[in-house]
Amino acid sequence: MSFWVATEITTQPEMKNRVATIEKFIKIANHCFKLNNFNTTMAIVSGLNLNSISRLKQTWEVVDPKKKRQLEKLEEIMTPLGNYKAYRAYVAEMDTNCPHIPVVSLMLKDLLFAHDGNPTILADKETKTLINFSKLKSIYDRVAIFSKLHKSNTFQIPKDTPGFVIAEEYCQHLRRLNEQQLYKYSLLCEPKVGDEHLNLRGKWMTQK
Amino acid sequence: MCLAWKPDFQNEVAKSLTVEFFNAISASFGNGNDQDKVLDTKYGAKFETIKKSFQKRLDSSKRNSTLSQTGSGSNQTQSFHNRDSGMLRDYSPSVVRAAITKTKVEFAAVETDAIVIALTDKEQGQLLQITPLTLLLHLWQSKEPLVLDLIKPINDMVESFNAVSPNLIVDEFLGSHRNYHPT
Repeated sequence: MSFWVATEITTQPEMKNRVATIEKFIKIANHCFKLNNFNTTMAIVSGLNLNSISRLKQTWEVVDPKKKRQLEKLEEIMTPLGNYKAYRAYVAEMDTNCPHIPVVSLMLKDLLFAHDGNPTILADKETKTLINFSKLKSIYDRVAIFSKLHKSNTFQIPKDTPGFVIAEEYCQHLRRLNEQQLYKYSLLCEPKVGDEHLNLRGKWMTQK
Repeated sequence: MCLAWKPDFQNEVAKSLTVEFFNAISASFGNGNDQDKVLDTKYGAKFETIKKSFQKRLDSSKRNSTLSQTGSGSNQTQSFHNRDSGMLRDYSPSVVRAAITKTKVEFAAVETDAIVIALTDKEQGQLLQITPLTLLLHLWQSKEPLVLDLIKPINDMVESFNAVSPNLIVDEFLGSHRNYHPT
């Protein structure tokens, strides 16, 4: 599994660059949220909450408090508590014609549970079989969201934004490290207190 | 008349050094004693063949390189025919320069607004390719090769989410989906 957000942060040996990267990601997540791109917002917020990032206490202390508050607001909406209750409530209140990108993984999960969690055929007391229309309606409601997304206005992407071509090129090749490597880089950024890896960090800094 | 691109083989310094090398290896081994004569007999012809082969390539590349000659003064570079492959190829300098100078884009160099728009554009493109029928039939869990094209947009979207951060939802609840890797 690969983590772009965590990779970009943990591969910055200098603290000021690390802090700048975190603040940039918070800004990106905020912009995505305002654009109603909830999929990317969720991805970035959960990336910033990874263990290898959240353990960088010294780095987080230096992050701008205003940015931290913005992140907290996003976390309140994207929290998984109550089966993403806050996020579902937020989306329900939105204008149905407003283009948005939902969290696709959550939609797939809902469909899976709607299908597997409810029987399609119900057995009646008199051994008559009944079709569970409640289940079918539940599945239809979720699939209908996709149909609405196709029919509603799509995002008007301003491709003449400065730097769009570079950004598009960058997005095709996102840097990724696996969990083990990320934790190792995280230890290099901020070793555990009293850890002998301090020497390794010094060696890594001189090699850069 | 303006000179267009010349192949490096016509670089005078490089050419003269290379010619010198091939002349040296094809020359006689020594002063004519018996041992040298044996070596000359054994290897002389081979080195002479190598030298002639090199000379032939040098001559053919010289004939094939093109000078752009236009009365109007435009800077258009003419394509030329590669004798070896028989295919017409465009060796215009912009193509060569672009291939050589392509650099990796760093995260710090990308504008925030631009990356937001690029990510949104990419995700919207993937989302619009997902058909409701694919979801209704739970095809994303299928391993049938016939439905690969149909489920590719869903896999692409999940994969791009994974590229950003761990897909906690999928890991927790969609184990069968995660195990499916379309070729």
